[in-house]
Amino acid sequence: MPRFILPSPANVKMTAEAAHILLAEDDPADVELALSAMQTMGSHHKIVVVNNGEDALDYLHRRRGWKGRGASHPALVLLDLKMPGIGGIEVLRTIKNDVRTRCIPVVIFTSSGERRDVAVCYENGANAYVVKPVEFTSFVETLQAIGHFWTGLNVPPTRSVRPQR
Amino acid sequence: MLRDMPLPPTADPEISYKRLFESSQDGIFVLDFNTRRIVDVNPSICLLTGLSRSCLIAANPESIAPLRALFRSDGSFFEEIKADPIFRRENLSMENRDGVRIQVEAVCNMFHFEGREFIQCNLRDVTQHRLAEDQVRRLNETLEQRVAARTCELEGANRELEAFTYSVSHDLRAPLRHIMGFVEILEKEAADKLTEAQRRHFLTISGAARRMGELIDDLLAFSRIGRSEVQKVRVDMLTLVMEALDDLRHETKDRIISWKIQDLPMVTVDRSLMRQALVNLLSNAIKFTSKHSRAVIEIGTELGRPDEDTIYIRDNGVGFNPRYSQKIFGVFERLNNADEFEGTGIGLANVQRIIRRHGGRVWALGKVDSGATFYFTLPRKCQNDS
Repeated sequence: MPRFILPSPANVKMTAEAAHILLAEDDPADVELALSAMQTMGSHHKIVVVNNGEDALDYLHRRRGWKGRGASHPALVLLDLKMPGIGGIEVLRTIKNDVRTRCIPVVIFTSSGERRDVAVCYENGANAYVVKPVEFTSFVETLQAIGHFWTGLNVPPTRSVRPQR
Repeated sequence: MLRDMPLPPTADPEISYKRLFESSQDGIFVLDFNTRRIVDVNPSICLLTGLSRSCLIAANPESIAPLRALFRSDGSFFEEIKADPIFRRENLSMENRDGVRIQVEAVCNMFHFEGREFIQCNLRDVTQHRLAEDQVRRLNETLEQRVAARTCELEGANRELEAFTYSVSHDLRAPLRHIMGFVEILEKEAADKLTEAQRRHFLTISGAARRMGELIDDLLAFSRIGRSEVQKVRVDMLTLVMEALDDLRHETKDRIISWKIQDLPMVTVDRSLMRQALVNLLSNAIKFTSKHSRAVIEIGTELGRPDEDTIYIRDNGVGFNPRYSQKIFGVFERLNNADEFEGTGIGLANVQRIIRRHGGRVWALGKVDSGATFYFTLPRKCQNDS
């Protein structure tokens, strides 16, 4: 029996209305570690997992399998950079270039802190850049801090506030 | 005979001229402008044409095959020299006495003597000279091509290295993260079923993974030093030392170290790179005196070459075998047992790379159990990135 049930279009309805995090991550081991970390810290916020860039954008725009999801934006998109197909930077660019999605906070969550990645991400409007710690304890603490800040301390943008063109 | 005698102070101009004429490497002949016949020749023109003096004298130069290149049958040579008394041809091609094509440079000029007009023609064989010129030109061309090709290769290699480190940085960390994460999860889940030995195995796995993570990080930092731009500023070395010590306060807080810091010079360095080099050198000194109850670390300058500053960092720690004084600057080289002193062994490789990028040198002196001194030099003149 799988330890973690990954949210899918079918079971997302029950979680979508709560303050939730969209995790775009293609590596199943990283997904499992992230969910395990959330469980370890007894997190109350929900995580919706998508495994590639296309799916992340479909989720945000309520397209394809995500048509039935709740109307609220995630409080945060936690975005991996290296993904097959549409990579993290392109997802970031698409989110930040679209008035409908550009106010959603995006935190880059990736293996490497290579300077040029950091630079490109900030240039394209990333709200934060976090390197995945190699040690599990730090990994848990990092996710805890991210969750605590973005779904707790931070006041997320609401859909009623429409950015002016 | 003349050759063996010192020249008289007031040399007879006629003798001087004759000496020059006879000994010249240029082939020289004199023409009577009116008769257009050769009236005098020197030995070199005989060699050049392969004809004796007697054959040449009174001959019409147009009838002598090797000289024909100079005289066109239309007589234009004589018209030209009449109009302009200095006649020059740089690329005449003629046949020498062996029938071999040679390149000749000709300078002819008209002069008057006792109411008559003469033309002196100097012919110089420039075949070897031209060949050498051609060769130099060709070498230059191929050199440029080779430089361009090599630059292209180097750029390619750099791009590959860049891609390689990028990939290392991204892709090597993920599996380590998975090893450590799942080992921890597994350990927690099986906590009550694990024997002491099994718990130790888990510790070994996580320890090894953590160490590999450190090695990867250090290697990436090392590679970054090689690629980053060096931006030099004028700064007081003492300030940099103080900043480095501030970075290291965590490592010194439980230690009693007697610091002896001399006056240090102003230097022209990349601030962050030099600070990193100092942090590495000082943390080394701090680390290898840790078993010493009275650690003394000294930072100073030594007189060296006038065009550079020589700075040293001396400690009274465990020292090293002088046989390995070069080896310690290698990547991941360690002279001590891993469990005795922490570290991946990249610090001194970083130092060497940073100092070399500044155009300086680095070396170490030491003995087992009697401390070590690390020296580095920095050029005084402001240099561009090397």
